Amino acid sequence: MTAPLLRLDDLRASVSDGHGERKQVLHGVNLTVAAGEMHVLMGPNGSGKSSLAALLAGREGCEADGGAAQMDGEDILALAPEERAARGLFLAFQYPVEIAGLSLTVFLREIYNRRREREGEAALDPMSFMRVLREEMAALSMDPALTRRAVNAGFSGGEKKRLEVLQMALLRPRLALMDETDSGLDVDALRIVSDAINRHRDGGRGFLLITHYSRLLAGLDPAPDYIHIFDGGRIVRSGGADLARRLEEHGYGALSEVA
Amino acid sequence: MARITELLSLSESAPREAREMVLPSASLEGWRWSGLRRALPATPFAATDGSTGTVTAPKLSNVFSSMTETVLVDGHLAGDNNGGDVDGRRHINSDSDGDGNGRRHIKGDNNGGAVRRHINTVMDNNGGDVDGHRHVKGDSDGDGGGSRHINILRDDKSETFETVARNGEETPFPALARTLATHPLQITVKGEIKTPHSIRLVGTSANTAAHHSLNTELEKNASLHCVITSEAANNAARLVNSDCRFHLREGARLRLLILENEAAQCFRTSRIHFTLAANARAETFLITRGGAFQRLEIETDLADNGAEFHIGGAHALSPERQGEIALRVRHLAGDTLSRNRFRAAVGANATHNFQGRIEIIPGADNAAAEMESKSLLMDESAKSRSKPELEIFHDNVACSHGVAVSPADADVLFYLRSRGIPLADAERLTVSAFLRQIFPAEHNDEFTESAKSRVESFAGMVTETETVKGQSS
Ligand SMILES: Nc1ncnc2c1ncn2[C@@H]1O[C@H](COP(=O)(O)OP(=O)(O)OP(=O)(O)O)[C@@H](O)[C@H]1O
Ligand SMILES: [Mg+2]
Repeated sequence: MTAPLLRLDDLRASVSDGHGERKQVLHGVNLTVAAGEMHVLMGPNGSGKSSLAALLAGREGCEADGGAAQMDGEDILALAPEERAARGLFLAFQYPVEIAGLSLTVFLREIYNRRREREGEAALDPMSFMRVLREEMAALSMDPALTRRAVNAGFSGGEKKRLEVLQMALLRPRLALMDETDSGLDVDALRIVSDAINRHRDGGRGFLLITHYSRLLAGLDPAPDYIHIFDGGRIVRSGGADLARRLEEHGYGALSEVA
Repeated sequence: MARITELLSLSESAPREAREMVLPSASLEGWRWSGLRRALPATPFAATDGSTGTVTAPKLSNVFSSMTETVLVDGHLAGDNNGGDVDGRRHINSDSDGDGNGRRHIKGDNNGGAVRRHINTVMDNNGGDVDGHRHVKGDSDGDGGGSRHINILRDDKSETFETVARNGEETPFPALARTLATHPLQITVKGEIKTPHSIRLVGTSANTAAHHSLNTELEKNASLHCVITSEAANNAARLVNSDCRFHLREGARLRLLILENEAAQCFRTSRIHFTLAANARAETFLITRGGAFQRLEIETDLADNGAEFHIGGAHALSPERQGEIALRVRHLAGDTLSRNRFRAAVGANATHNFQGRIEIIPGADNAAAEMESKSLLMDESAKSRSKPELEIFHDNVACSHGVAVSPADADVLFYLRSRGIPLADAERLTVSAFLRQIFPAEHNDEFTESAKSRVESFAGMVTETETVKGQSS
């Protein structure tokens, strides 16, 4: 029996508020994502969804207090963020970071070539990489002029989200955590992003999407395998695709009691 | 005459006096220097006779695809620029027009006996023939060195030495550099010099002092690209002290790149003085790693209407290093512009000081000045102090300044690492992105690009602990 792609057991975690106080944000999360599956987390603001993503990606200040998180059977909590990325974990940030002075092209080439080298392929020279980049950007209807800017510098909300998807396309992660990648997108962009996710799906990859809206889910094909309602730092209910629709009709209040 | 005597006696007594002088503390108060006395080792640095130096694997060479070079090893004018040892054959190859037949006036100094020589280079662009306008004059007889050297000072019309010294504001170091420089360089530029000229100050011998003096005159409408590199061929302790002057006459253009890659044990003192006449324009990038102690004094006089001064300074301070900038820009006429932008990335236990003063005199109508100093602390033990000062005595001017000191952005580092970039590389990228802010966005010519590539190569060193060898006890 092979270990699942991601397995969370009674995961508890707290964040530091920067003033020496800690606040518990995850209260026992249980979740298994097998290769090929797509899971969706929906839940009220402040329920801890981004904290879960941050913990899995390795953000400093967000620490496990108990339980376990394993990727392919390996404890990932002990790994540095870059080591998790090297194992195929990717987080599309809810709030992508602006990095003044760092050329977007240089940054993307760096992460792309690192991925290639990890996978035993030769790094691409700048010219060849530009061709790859132009193609991937065209698929996301991104303005090629963005490559001349610094990472996220002056990007609109939608441009930032597309850049996260572009990085996913370049890094080809085995496990993609996508934190509200659909928020702030116009209808066209929404379709572009769901198409990109569809292209990326195959039997070897897993997804954990965090979203507030069923709009994104409508464009996903095949449909997500599981919808989980997240509240108070844990999963309170799980179901199929119809759970998202019921949620939009009835709200979290009616569905949040632990089933 | 009195002045010459004064200077001659200064050359004898100055090293001792500098050592015995009661210097101010590290406090930034007042327009003064800080911290050097505390940092100086007990064993004095001695001058070398120039016989020992060997230039090996110069780190900063080949900055441009083609350039002419002057190399000084341990303060002595060296021979060729391709790593050969320093023998009696010294030359400056001043190929000012890039036409290939520019190897000219190789006038050696073979006796090696004179302590001081005055190297006088005239660059112009009027063809390849060897004529009187283009020469390097070595002091081959060995007897005239002293007096020629004094001539440089006496000829200096700006009288900066006297004025500043009288105000008690100049450190003794520029005076020492001018007095003790083994090979003071005098460069006169006529017309447009397309090939960049490189002046390399290389240090090779431990526990030595090298004094450098450079006087560059750009005649009316002349233009020059110049690179001054100061680098250590090994990691030995030494004192490198320089005084550089750039005098730009009307309409002259200077692009200057100063690169310093000194050893961790280096004491680096440097003064750069710019005088800009009407419509002259100087653009300078300064990229440095600091040292055991480093102080850079930059003084600029915008002497006439339309003069423009642009400087971008980047400090990449490795752990334990120190780097300090004292900037003074004087707007002495109307319609003058200065943009002064500095960044410092500071490693563990490293210290950075910035003191910048903009002066705008009464009547300097439409003068515009910007000054900015930002520091990025790469460790909790890193220190940075910035002190901007504005002295504005006229109403119709535009003046802005800003200072900021902040730690490395944890969100940025996490973002980069989450993409598979290891911490050390993420820090390097962060530092480099920060330091690159000294470059104007629209600039991507070869000059700027070569400066940018230096920032890249220094950026990774800010968080790297250095192994120090050849330390004086
Ligand atoms: N660094 C921090 N300091 C203090 N509180 C924090 C910190 N990070 C997160 N929290 C708190 O933890 C709780 C969970 O936040 P989190 O961002 O995980 O919520 P979320 O479910 O992603 O919400 P949203 O839907 O609004 O994005 C919130 O109450 C938030 O204020
Ligand atoms: Mg969130």
